[in-house]
Amino acid sequence: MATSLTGVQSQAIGLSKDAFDVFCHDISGMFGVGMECKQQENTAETVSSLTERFKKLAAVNSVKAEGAMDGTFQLIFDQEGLLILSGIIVMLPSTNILQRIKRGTVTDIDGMTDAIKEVGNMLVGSWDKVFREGLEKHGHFVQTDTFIGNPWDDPQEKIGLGEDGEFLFIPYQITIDSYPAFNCGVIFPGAVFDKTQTEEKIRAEVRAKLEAEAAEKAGLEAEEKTEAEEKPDLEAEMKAAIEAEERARIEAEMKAEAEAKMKAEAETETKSKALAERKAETEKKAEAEAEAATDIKADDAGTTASEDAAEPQQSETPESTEGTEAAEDAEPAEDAEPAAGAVSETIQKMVESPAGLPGEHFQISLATCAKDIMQTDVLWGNADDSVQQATEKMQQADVGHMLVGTEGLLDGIVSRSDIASAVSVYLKPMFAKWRRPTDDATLQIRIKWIMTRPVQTIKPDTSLAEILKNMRQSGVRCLPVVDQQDKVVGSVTVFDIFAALLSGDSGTSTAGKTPQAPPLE
Amino acid sequence: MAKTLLIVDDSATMRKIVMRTVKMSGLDFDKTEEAGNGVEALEKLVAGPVDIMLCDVNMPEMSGTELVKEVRKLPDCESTKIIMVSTESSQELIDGVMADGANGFITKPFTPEKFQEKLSPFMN
Ligand SMILES: [Mg+2]
Repeated sequence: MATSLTGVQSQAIGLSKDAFDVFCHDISGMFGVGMECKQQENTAETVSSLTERFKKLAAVNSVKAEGAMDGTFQLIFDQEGLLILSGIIVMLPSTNILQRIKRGTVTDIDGMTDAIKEVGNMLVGSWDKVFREGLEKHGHFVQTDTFIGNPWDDPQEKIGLGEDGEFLFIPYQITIDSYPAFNCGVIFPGAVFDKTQTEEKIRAEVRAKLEAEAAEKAGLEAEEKTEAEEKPDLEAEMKAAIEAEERARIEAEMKAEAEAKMKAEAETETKSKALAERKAETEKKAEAEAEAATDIKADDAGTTASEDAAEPQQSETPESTEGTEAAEDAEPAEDAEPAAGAVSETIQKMVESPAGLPGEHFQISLATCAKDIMQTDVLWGNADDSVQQATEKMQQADVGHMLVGTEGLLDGIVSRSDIASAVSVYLKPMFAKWRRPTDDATLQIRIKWIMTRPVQTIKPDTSLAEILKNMRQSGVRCLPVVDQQDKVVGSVTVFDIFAALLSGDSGTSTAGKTPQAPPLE
Repeated sequence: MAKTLLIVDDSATMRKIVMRTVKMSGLDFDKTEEAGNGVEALEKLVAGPVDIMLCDVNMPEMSGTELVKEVRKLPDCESTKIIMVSTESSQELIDGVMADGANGFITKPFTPEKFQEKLSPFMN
């Protein structure tokens, strides 16, 4: 094959290596992973030989080229590659990615199509960048389609490759961190080089051999050289990146701790003043409440105050994922236990009578109601979703609750802690050693069996004080907001309330997204 | 003064990545909103203009380049800085969209440093 390569073809082969390298570099930079890419010998392939190479599912990105290269070519990832890369870009934990590779089911891939397409999109971006710099008369590359599945039963229809055609295939092997190495590559149908070939017909044919040989030799030498030079650099870079990340994490942890402490102190002070000032009123109220809700256990004021202080911090600190999970695990049955209250009495009082408080920390309008603080972007799922699917949806959307129903009408609601209490505790990485198949089976429990229903809802004009009272009495942390026809128009979570309390600008519309749960890191 | 940000991209995954990268770049936004297409973006801008809009180019129905033209017709969005985010980076595309009123261009894949570099001039 090498002997019949034209100038553009051999250039394209050289640049494809750079393009995959740049892609690896870009993904490393964006997601903090170590990536290594090895080019393997290019070959002439047919659909049947490609079928042998990519036996399982594959992601095939069709790329339209204009300019020196003209037509459509394909960038392909094997099943492991598409699971690893998509998992990394949506920041799934590595244990989760490894499980997916092991299982390799269609369901594992179904939930990730958007991410897989974006991987392809970024890959095409890297390719376009490299070819723009390296290939004369390069127009552009545009990702026109991403096929995910088994393309080989109808390659013409599915990925635009003719069954009897012969293609130039350049295989690559990519290794990311400690994940298994996976295969990918570029498929160049001869037609993408046709235009230039015709233009340069005679000249090209005469010079091609010499050029190809020279380019290949130079390419090999350069490759050896860069590989030798790059290795220590890369290692040093990775080490520095890891150190920097660790430092940032520790700093953030310290800051969060200090802030939580300050806030807890401030709240205690605020509370004692408020209590002193309004002792009689508080007592009266407490009595009334105790009577009204005899089934609710008495609120331990000390505990709730410190919980409330810690919660918004967790939501604002990306590094505290583990902490939150631990906290959620510690109280798996929060919804069933109002005593472990979602909203403290203190905060409710602040909202009810803000004017009487030393208000440098908290300013909130009495007129604030659900529509001012609600999130309009709510996550919906199906009653037949598995616990695992629901978890993934919630992780991807970065929310703590998922609404269940159709056409805006609610059948139920499910929270992360509903899920935490439904799945086996042995699925946690720390218990991996003792994990049994029955534990995995709990991931397949359907949402309809664990969701809460009927769902407590509020109206857009429900006041903040009402919302807090409702949350405190019922112990739920998320209240869907419904209109006159009972259609969901948004939701209010405790995080939205904290955000409103802390920002003090709840009078204005805050469609901005409050962190609902820690980022997926 | 803290700024407001609108991220427009048809891919939910990419919006999350952009948001995460903005956070990592250390730029501080008071409020961050998302829109999954051009129409949704326009609705949000009419409801309340933002300081900076990060806009995908390749979107179904209304493309990012069309969206820029529409945004520039909105009277309240004259001072909104529009930064395009695209995998395609031909000079032709960049020149065209800048002439239509975009203020910057970031190519995908991107790094936090790139966001820092391209957005910080508009943060004051
Ligand atoms: Mg797009």
